[in-house]
Amino acid sequence: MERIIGIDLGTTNSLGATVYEEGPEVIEASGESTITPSVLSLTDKGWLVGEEALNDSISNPDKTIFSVKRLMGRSLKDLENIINELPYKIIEGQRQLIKIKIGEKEYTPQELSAEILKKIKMNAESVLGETIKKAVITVPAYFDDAQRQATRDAARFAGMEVARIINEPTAAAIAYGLDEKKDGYIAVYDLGGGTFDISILKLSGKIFKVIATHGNTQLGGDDFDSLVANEIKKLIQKTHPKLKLNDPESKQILKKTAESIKKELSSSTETSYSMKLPHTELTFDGNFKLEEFENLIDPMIEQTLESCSYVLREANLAADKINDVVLVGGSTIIPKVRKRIESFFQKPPHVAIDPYKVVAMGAGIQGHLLAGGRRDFLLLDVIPLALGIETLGGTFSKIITGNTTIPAEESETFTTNVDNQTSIEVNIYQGERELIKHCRALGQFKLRGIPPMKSGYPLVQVQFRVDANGILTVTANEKRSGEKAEIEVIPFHGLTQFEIENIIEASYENAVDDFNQRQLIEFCQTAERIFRGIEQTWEVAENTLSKDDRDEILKQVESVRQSMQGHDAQVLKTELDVLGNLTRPLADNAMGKTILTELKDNENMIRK
Amino acid sequence: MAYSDKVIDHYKDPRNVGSLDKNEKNTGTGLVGAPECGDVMKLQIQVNPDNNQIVDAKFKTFGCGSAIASSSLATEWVKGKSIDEAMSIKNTEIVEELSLPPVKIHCSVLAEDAIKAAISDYKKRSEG
Amino acid sequence: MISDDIDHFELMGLPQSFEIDSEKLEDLYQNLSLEMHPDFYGTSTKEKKILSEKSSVMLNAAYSTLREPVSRARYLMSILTRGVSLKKDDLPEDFLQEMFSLQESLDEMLESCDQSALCKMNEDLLKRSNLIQSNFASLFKKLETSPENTETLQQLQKHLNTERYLRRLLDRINSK
Repeated sequence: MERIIGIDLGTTNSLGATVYEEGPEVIEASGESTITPSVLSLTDKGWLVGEEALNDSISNPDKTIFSVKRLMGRSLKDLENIINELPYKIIEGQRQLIKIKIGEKEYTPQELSAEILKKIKMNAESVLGETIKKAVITVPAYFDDAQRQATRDAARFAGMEVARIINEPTAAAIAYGLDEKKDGYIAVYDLGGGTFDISILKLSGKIFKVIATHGNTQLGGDDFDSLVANEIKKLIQKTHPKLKLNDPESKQILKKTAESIKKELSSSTETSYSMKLPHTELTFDGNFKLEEFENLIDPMIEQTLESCSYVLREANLAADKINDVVLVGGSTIIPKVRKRIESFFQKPPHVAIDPYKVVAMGAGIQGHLLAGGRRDFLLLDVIPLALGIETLGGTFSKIITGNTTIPAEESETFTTNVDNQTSIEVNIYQGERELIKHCRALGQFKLRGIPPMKSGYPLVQVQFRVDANGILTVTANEKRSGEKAEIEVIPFHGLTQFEIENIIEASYENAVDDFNQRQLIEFCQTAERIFRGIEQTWEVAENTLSKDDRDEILKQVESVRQSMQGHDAQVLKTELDVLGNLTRPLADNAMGKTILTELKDNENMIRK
Repeated sequence: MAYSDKVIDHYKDPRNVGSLDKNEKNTGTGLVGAPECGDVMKLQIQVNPDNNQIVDAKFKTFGCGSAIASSSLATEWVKGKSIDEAMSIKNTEIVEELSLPPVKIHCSVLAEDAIKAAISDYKKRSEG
Repeated sequence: MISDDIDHFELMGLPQSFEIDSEKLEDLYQNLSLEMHPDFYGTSTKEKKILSEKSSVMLNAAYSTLREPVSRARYLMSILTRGVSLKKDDLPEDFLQEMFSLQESLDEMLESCDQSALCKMNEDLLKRSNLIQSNFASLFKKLETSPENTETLQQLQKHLNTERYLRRLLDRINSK
């Protein structure tokens, strides 16, 4: 069975999980933190990802990228509200696509996100000792098609196929539901770094079904930080009116200070802070009270509860009909958030599984199911927002309504406006509003090959199909002539096939590097096994081999060890081959055969 | 597909929205609905009794963009026409002018029905 | 392979009737989903994948139509009125005028953000809608003994039309 891992690709943190024989667990490298901060920084030596990038962020603020997730599949217009808070430069590319400018180079959010995914993938490969080719990746329930597509592209750049994109709250519910196995309604309140969503799921028998979902893709714990950072900034400027504090370094320091204040206030009622003011010799000291913090963030919590009310109405349920409340995301650790959730739903939320890990674990379980590892539950997903087309005058005509269970299929009939017209252009949108300017453009398709007829006479039936992966495909045929019309979907958002191929080609060198890295890991594991074999047969060797031969083996073991410290898989392979030849005589006895088998495996692997 | 600005205007900036005093003489009111979608449309005309010419028309529609555009276009078209001429306006003409997709054809039917209802109301009132 | 034009009742193996055992529908849907959902065929042949996808689409459509009383009633009507000529836009007297006035008052409430008035209207409309729905069962029952009864069909048509206008108002209130 080919393993499909689960990845929680978060705004602030990312992590992978899988199902071991003992059950689902996050993929943990020994001695390292399980959670990779979703931070990158570009250095002379290449990308640093995670903890290393975070450590680098103060000294390298221009080239450190946070919260890439908020940029995925977005246009400059979408980001109006937050663009000034971002400490890096964003420029508009073709077709409303944004790029992040770092030094002289420009990167798409997908490419940056891919670096984080690569890190997770490599970590998983070294822990599990196998190549990972497929993953279930989670996204906020409210992500639209463009954002989901961007996530898929990022995975492709990282050398993985997305087996399924699932919603974060759904993943959390799976992780809890399988533990508790209680039928009923589950509310998943997910307040992460950059996004909020609330979903109502129903667990009935073995089936999880999303009943309703709502949220805000531009609201999260980062906003709490911004509020605190702004407060501190105001305080500093009261004392030092001349300081602008608008440069990247100041923003970064303010952000870090705000973050640590938030953390401190999760367990105390007041905290003091001290921050060095950049470009000056000054230090600023202050106090922050819990009450002050709670008052600041309360309007935002209120916003999240409004979404909760909305989603309950949508689900036709009263708050007390919810059986279980599950918390996801780092911001749900804040006591005020928990208090308000508890009073809203009139019951204490579940906190048994670490809110940082629960999403990845659910994704890992879903991956296990998709890989054919189990059949004991099923997740029925819905499309979050209606899909439809532009009709004249900029109005939006829904074809598949929001919250429809997928896979789903609907068709709509179109016709021509001009005599002998042989093609029709249709713009596809996603949203819940009446005007297309309030919805998201997904793409345009052209129906070609309509037989020439009088206007209004052709009946072109267009089928919208959303598969279990949530991917929309459009097909069409003209009913009078029975001819199939060709469809060409031109995405308004996201990357075209051409761009994707270009990026993959450009990253070919890196891909070679990744391959090298993987081989290195695998050869090191082989070497360790061979060493063990030699150790176990050494007694035999002392009786059968001359001292010179034995010394040569020991010398070669040292060379292999040295190559293991290096970075070239091919060099290590050559050294391993030499060791293989030297230890061949040991293969005459039973213990030695083990070594030989190892070496043969090794050779097969290299030939592959 | 290129549409004339005039047509698109009926969507973005519908003409003749409002109402006429329905008790005033020489007016006619048509109130129609579409059971397919729950749209309601009210169309009113004011007629010069000397030559049976429609001198003014107003509408108010609770419905989708296509229904609003159809009624806007209908009021524009009936103005200046005699009631007999207005009676002969066909929904297909509205479909063509506004390039309504098949799924929105009932909006044009609604507009045609509204014109006919307003005229027959006028006739009933002026006779009675 | 399941035929494309099989009706929703047949697909679910339920009798063609308005009264359905919702627990049974729920069970059938769950069991069939656990049989045919594409998630269980990720490693199967292409043919099996396509079959599972297609059957799931049909299953989802049937379930979502039959579950809700109003959509179930509309669907059943569409089957029962094949070849029957009815007055399609039949409504109670002065009903349209009332709907128009309600829409106008709703305009005002929305403009002034009058929450309490909006809530009250929402409640009233829901009550009326439920009242209408309570007629469905007995009317459809009547049709089971005399399927050619045009009068009953016409009555149902009228109720369904009324429900649509009320629904439109409810949607407008709730989308804000």
